[in-house]
Amino acid sequence: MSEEILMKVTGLKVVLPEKEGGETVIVDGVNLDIPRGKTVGLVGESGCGKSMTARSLMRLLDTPIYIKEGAIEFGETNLTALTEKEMRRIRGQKISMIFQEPMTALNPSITVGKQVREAILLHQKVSKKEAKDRVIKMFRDVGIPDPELRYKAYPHQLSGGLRQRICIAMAMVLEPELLIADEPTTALDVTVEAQILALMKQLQSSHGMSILMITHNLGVVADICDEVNVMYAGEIVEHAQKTELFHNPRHPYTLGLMKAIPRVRGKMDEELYTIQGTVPSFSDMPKGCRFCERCSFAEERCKAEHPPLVDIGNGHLVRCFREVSE
Amino acid sequence: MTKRRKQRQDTLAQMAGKTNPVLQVWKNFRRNPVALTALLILLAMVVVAVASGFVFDYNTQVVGLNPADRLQSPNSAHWFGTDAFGRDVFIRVIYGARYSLFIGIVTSAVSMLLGIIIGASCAYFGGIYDIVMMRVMDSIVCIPSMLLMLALVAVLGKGMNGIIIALIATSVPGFSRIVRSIVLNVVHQEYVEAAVACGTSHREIIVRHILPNCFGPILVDVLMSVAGCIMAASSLSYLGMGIQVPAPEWGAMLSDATPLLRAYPYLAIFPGIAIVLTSLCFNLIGDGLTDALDPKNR
Amino acid sequence: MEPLVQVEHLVKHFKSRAGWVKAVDDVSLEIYPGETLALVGESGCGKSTLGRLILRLMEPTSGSIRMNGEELSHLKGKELRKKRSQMQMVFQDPFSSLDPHFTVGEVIAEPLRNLGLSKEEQQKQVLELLERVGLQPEHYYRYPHQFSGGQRQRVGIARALAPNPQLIVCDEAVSALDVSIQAQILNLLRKLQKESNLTFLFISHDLAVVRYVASRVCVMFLGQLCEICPVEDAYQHPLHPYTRMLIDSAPEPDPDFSREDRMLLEGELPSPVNPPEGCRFCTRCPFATKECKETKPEMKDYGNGRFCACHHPLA
Repeated sequence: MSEEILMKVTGLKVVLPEKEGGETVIVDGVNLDIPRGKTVGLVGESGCGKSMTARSLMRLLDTPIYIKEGAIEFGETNLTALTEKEMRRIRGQKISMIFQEPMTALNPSITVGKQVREAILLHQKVSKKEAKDRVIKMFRDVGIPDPELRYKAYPHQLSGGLRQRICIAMAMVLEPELLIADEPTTALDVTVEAQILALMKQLQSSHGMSILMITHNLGVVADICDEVNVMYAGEIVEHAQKTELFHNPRHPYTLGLMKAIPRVRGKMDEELYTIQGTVPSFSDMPKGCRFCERCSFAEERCKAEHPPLVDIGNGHLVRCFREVSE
Repeated sequence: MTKRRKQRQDTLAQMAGKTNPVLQVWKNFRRNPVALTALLILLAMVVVAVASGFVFDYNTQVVGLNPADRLQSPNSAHWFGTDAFGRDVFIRVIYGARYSLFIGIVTSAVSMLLGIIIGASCAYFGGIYDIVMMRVMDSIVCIPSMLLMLALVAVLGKGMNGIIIALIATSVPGFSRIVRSIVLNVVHQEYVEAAVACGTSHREIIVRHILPNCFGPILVDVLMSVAGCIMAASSLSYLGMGIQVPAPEWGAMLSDATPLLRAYPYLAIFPGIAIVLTSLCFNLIGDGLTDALDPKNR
Repeated sequence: MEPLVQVEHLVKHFKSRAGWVKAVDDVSLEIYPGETLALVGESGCGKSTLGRLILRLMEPTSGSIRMNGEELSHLKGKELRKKRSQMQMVFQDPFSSLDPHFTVGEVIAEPLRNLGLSKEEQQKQVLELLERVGLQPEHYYRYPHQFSGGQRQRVGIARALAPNPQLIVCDEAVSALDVSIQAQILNLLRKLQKESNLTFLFISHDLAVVRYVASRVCVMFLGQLCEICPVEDAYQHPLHPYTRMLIDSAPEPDPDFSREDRMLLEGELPSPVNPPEGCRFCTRCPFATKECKETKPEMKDYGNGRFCACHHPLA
């Protein structure tokens, strides 16, 4: 298992200071390893902290939210120690990001070609003509038909799928080592989603970059991820290689999620399995295991103690005392 | 049965912590120190403005000529000094609040009423009515407001009535546009569609859903416009087209002070501060209300 | 069995800057009492518009909508409002479909208020409804923003149930919710249907979700119906190529699933202002022939409740 680790996140803690003093912890001690050339999934439902984790890696948190503790080692540098100016040199060039809503990620009053070209000109000293040529080539690589024509188009003239391809082009044009994708297909139709996922897989193998895929959709994870982290209430509760996770989920939350997903193929159960209750709010976090109130396997110990992340073999980590199986 | 129903309602209310919405807005507003200070200052101004009508004698103290005391710098007898006619500037500034506050409040209230009627009806009914009405408003907005006001005053005559009508005429078009877009925004919300789906009548939708959701932004806008009206009234008076001398309107006082500015700056400073302070207070209260009215703060 | 709702040759055109958008173009279908009919399609196919036309939240350009035999398409004003208690809607966005100034009690009571019930009766029924949808009585005086998305959606469902309607249209009612909450709401809808023998028109883009609630499925593309069939047929043996592609494109939470032989869509969606002359789907269909480009396919009955509008249906 000697892969080169591109980015190593240790003990990341992101907090939101409260008005009356005190603070709400949004991301609580997350460790994440992103190997070179692989796709890592970060799965969880809304409010679990996965988007905040992604933004922290790019140091894109809105004040007053800030990184309280933790190290983000990217190659030789610790990203938490960089100044804003140094961080700008990394963004777009070494690490780039694509977001959920391609319409709001693009400037509506500038042509898409110019926007992508701007990304190049900001970081590299090349002529405008050369930048334009690279943009058109990138458009072709991401499957945009008639790239020369589309270069002059405005975002509102393009469909959702095309806009997301433009965003991907903009993120990839400088050949970053890491692409962070924050729910990139959630706002797209399912037929377009399938195309975009296929595109991302193809780009990854041709460019050798790593992808951190943030999503709530286990189907997307099963499609393109190599390894998976499951997040709940600000913590990672399970981590495993993809096949291991789907064949052998050990955390009750992961198990519940997999059973609660309605499926298009295969046999159908009479009733959809539900995980009762709701995610505890960040200001009201239980002392012991954060999932214990919703867990059908909970014991006394779970309420009192907070379980640590334990390696159960094969690099499969689980945060659970009971550590159940199907 | 009624008693038991009331008991049940009370228990429910207690359990749920039902709050009086008006009280809640006030509580939220109180938490903003800047807005609260502005409100207190404004209230003090209003009290003083009203009281000054009873305390000071207009003919002797406010406009009475007193050549012997002319052009004194601020001292213990005359806190803001005296002007070229020997009149006490402090008394004149305080008395002048009556004009500014009256004009500002009356103008805004009437503009708001007309603006709401025009803007809301355009937004709700749309169609040809909306198109025609908005073009009429647009054509008025195109004319620089100061020129329009001067023209109107020239026709209607100078003095209190002239200013008020001129200010209303220039405020209503802009205001109705703002009201129209606020109402349009609310009309397209999904909860309005849901109300239609429930079978709620047009009238009830407007009264129960649309107006309460527009009220906040409109009220805030009205307060901001008071500030603008005060400034505009002072400008008109400065140009001699508004409240006429010897009335102690702040703008008119600034006009008197202009030739003497170099040697006696205090003659302009105090009325100037008064104008700015009053406008600022209305603006800050408007700001504070924006946050206080947000239903998410209940 | 007599259908509860009959839609015939329904058309809705919108004027846009680019021209007339044919959002719903000659749609005919029937909804039977006690069933859940799913209306499936991607964005821009017109399913939401169709749902709103049936509820008369919009006026159709032409065509007929009949409920219990009564014609609804030309009703206006007070007559229309009276009919509203028979058909209700659960909206997609649990945030914007509840008035932020109304308490939960007031939201749910609104349809009852319109029916002229007394205040006591309104309160009594609202408390019952709160219990039926799994909320607590003390939520009566709370405001929507104090609830989570799933709870707000329960309020929306309670509001739709209040006037005892015969038909409830769910417009992407679970799309904005997390997976675990989605499952709760879907189970709730199924339970309510069994209890009150409700009829649902379930609009969704998510085929997986639809499989759990629907008894029949209608697939829509660019304003027209492609296929109508019993639910499992859509998944096991779809007739229309578009249905097959929708199924194949859906992500599968199984890493061993073979993604190679899926039929994926090519190209871009044609503009709804200038749809192709013949079959709407021909520009994206791998089986399109000259006939497909020139002639619009009719909806044919293939027996066993299966209908398909395609010149070259699968299987």
